[in-house]
Amino acid sequence: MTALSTATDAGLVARCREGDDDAWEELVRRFSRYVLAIAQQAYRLSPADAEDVFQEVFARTYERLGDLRNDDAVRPWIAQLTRRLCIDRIRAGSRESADPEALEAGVDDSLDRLDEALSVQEAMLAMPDNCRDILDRFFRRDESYAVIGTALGLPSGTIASRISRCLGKLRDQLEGREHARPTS
Amino acid sequence: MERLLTRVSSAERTPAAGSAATAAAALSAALVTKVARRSREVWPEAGGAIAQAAALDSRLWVNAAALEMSYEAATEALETSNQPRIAETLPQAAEDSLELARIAADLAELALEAGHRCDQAHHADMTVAAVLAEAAARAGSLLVAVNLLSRTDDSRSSEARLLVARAESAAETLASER
Repeated sequence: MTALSTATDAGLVARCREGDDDAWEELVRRFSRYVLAIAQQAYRLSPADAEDVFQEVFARTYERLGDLRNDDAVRPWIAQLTRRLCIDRIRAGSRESADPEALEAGVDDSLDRLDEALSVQEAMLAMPDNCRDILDRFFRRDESYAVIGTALGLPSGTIASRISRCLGKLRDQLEGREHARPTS
Repeated sequence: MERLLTRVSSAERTPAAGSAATAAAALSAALVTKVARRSREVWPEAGGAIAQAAALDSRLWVNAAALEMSYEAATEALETSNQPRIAETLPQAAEDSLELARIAADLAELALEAGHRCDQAHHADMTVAAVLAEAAARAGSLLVAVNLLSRTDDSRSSEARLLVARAESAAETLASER
């Protein structure tokens, strides 16, 4: 059986439907930052409101996962659910009826960036450990070639080429996912 | 760049040498990016070099802002002979200068890698990129020494010397390949 952390979205959804509690925990873990980011960054909800949306999104996901027609489309499905609940939350907090177009202004761009970040995160999980480590050290932890070289026991002069090779693999992963991804 | 030159040449305390050295390193990153973009046909991993140059460039400018602030604070402490503030601010200015040298040394090595993989019509561009990065590493190292009040026994001084040696080696390797 595939390790949950590296399971595809569709594989995870299938296991959730079978009542696998661990798969459900993994699904929440995988999408929790995504849901919170949509609420807080795209719709600028307060932390408290974003937390309420978060609870509601996963409660409804749990109830309605059976309605999902395409298991591969769980991410856009959760995104759409989150968007609707964010708008409901904003309207509920507003005395006048909020203009839907104004609420949605700029949200698509934010969602595109979040989707891209999530795709990179997923592709990173599928990378070999050595590549994941070197990319994480350079791009996320801002480590220098010398620090990376010392940590991994490699000459610093070889780090730039290793990072480039690993980025090539990451690009292949992302392109593979892009071709496999449903358009929702 | 024009705005930076105007600001550097002004009578204000900052931006000063740290920002000027940062600009040299940033030009090195820009050259690597240009050459990688023009070498995609012969260098399948050119995109990786572009991404690394962008990351290093971003770190450069974040550090430049920190370096400006720490330099301002250190200079003010020195001018007022405020010993507790001197003891507090100079090490930070040294650390920010050292970070500049670290990023510049990485850029020199990235230029070396690019010089070997790119369309060889651009080899000289990568040599210049490595030389610019070396200059920035050397400037950063010099500022480390100044801010440590020329104490050479400090671990930051020895790290700075190693960084200059790495950048110098990259630039010399490329220059020797003409």
